[in-house]
Amino acid sequence: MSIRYTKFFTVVATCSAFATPLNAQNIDSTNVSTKMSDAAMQGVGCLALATPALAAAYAVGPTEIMMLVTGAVIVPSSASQLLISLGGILGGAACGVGAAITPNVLWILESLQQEKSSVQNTLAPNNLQPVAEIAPTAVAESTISTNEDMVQGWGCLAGVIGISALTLATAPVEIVGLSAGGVTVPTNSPILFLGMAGTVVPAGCTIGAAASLPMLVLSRNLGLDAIGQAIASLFNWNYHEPAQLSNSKAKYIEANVSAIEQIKGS
Amino acid sequence: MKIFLRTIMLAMPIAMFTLITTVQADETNTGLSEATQAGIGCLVLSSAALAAALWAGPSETVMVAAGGLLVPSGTTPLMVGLTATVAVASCGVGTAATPAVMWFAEQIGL
Repeated sequence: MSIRYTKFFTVVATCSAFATPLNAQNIDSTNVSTKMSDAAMQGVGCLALATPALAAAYAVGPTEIMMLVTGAVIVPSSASQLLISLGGILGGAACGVGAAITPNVLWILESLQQEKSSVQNTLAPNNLQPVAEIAPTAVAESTISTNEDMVQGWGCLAGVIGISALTLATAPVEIVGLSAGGVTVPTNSPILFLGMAGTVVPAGCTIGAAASLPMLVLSRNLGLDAIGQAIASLFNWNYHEPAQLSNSKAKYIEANVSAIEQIKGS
Repeated sequence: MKIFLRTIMLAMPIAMFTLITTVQADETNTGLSEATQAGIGCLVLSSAALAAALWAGPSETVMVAAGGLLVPSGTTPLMVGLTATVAVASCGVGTAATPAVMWFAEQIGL
């Protein structure tokens, strides 16, 4: 298998990973039940992070990255051996991180979508349909909610950021070498970053995700969650105000309701 | 080194304190899901493994665990290296074993 075919399969896999949820959404619009389960979405997240990581590794120097991540001193003799090794080690590491943060990415996308739909609900003249759309019962409830997967996803992200910052701030080459047991010195920054992606990054994600729930319980028991809620309210994270109508919207509703009543009366 | 050692020694009491405060908060229901219990298992076992590594010889431990020949030049590379090898492995074991340990503790009436 040549490098050219490997790159082709990588591109196809990336497109497939990103196309899967979009395709599912399109089919769902035709009233066919294709809602993906949480595990299926995490699988998509795995592919969505692992495939670009593999593509980037192939672009900047797969053999050197493999030696950096695993500490190996053997140069693979063929592209297939390199692909299998790289997919198993670096792809597996990126897959785990991608699966862990998938609920959070979906939550962010859902939040953005809701903001967009609320903006689109701005009333247009001579359009009676928005009256129902902006009714308080329709906009008061949000489908966004937090669960354990999301907490673990935030923990994964915090662990990744924390351990990556600590690594980059001190001795990244040495730390990657220590973690992998290797002696390879990366020749440029992208190779170093991908080496970190295969060693310290999944480690930070694993420990951060596992420690997040006990830490959350501890903070609640100690009453420290009020501080977090206060910070979250500053940025409007997971903070839902009761639905309120602006004066212009209220006047528009009032005018349209009276118009409808007149039509019904006539 | 001392600050890291103290941090690790603090992690285990924190995990235990989480359990105790939760039970005290609602005695009829511990409120801990299986994922939370698994997280506590991860913290306990990884803290114990890190403490054992620091006691036994951290540089040699990280070299043996990773199969390398690199001697860490400072405390931070050593601790991050230990985290990326020893702590992660023991965290995985703790996470996987916690439900079985909890079941066993329940069976013997703890």
